[in-house]
Amino acid sequence: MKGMMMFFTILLLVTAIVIIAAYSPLYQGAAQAGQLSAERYASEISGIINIMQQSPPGTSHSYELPDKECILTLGDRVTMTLSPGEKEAKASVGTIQYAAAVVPARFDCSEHDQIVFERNENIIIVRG
Amino acid sequence: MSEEFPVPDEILAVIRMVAFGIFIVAMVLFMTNVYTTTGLDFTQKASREIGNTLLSGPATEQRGIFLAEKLDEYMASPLQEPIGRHCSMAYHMKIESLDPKIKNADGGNAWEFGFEPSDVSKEYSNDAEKEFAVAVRRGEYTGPAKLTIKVYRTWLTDVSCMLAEAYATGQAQTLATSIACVETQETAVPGLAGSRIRGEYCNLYLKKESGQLCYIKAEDGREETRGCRTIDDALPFDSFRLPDDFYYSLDAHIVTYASPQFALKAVPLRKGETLEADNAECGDYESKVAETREEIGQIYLCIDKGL
Repeated sequence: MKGMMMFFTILLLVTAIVIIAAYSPLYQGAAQAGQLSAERYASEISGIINIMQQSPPGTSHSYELPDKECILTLGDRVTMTLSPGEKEAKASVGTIQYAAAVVPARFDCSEHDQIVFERNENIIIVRG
Repeated sequence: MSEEFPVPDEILAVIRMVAFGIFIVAMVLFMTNVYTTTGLDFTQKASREIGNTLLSGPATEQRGIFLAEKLDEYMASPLQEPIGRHCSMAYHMKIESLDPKIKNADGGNAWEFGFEPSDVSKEYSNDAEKEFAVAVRRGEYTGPAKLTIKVYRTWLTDVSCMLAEAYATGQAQTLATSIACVETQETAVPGLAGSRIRGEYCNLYLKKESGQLCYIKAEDGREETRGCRTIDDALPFDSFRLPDDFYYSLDAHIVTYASPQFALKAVPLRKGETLEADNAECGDYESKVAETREEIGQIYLCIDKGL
């Protein structure tokens, strides 16, 4: 009985140590996943802008914004901020500067479900 | 009649403990090896998008049909990337005529222009190459050709982009980087009280040269340009400043044994503010940073060792 008690005490201690040791890499992993997610969104949206640059005037494309807290800023660069605040994940990706410039805009994902890109003569307008 | 082997409780307890120990070690290894990736290759993606831009750009008559006269103009132009520009990726393009009747202005069979990375940055470049079947038209005659695009992302393209971004946003930009010691030089660098210390150093020497940001190799008073990238058109050339002697040296011995970690910053300062010109380190820059684009006087590049 005494041996079992000792065994379970050691088991408890070691498990606590493992949980503490694993917390940091797991937390970092979660933060990295958030960062990669922001990079993926920024990259997708910059790709849309780059393709719209070569499209004829009148072309439009709609894009669903992520179903989570985020801020999207558009201009020469696309900046996506997920979970804005202290633990935010932010990524910024450049676009090709070519025939049509993007009219700078800022979207809050809690206010817009999707955005629509419209290619006009010399500009790309993005509406919420 | 078989004889049962006696297993004392102590041995069972040891086996249990060892098994538990192995389980714990396996769990720790599993937990510490957790990492995430998207599998996205941004350079490959940029090469496809830049390729599409070039295929229907101003040098073409229709998609994929290039005009030889336009290509001759671009080849003679000092502009490095005349057709579209990606902030952090630079391209080099080559169009080879596959028809002997279609030649460039010099009588050759190829048109080639764009960013050329230095030998040093080539080794550390993340690049992607794409080929497209195209045509070249001269006058009434159209012949087949091959377009090859190579897209580079080097730290020089990152720095040029960072400067443009600092100007566009009015916020300090950071490039956390580790400059590999590929170019150790026997050179003298500023030491204490104006002295010069001679030794093996790794160098990061950037300079403005005719509208371009250039990486320079400096050895015994001689300077050799090793690679340049044209600075973004949107960035007025006077609006940023590299100290004339932006020269950051790392002790080669330290570099050999521990990769140096520091952040290169582009700091947009308010009008009238300066950082120490002879010191490549950022120091206390926060109080001098402009808050809006309109407030920017100059943009400084500096080293922040606060990593």
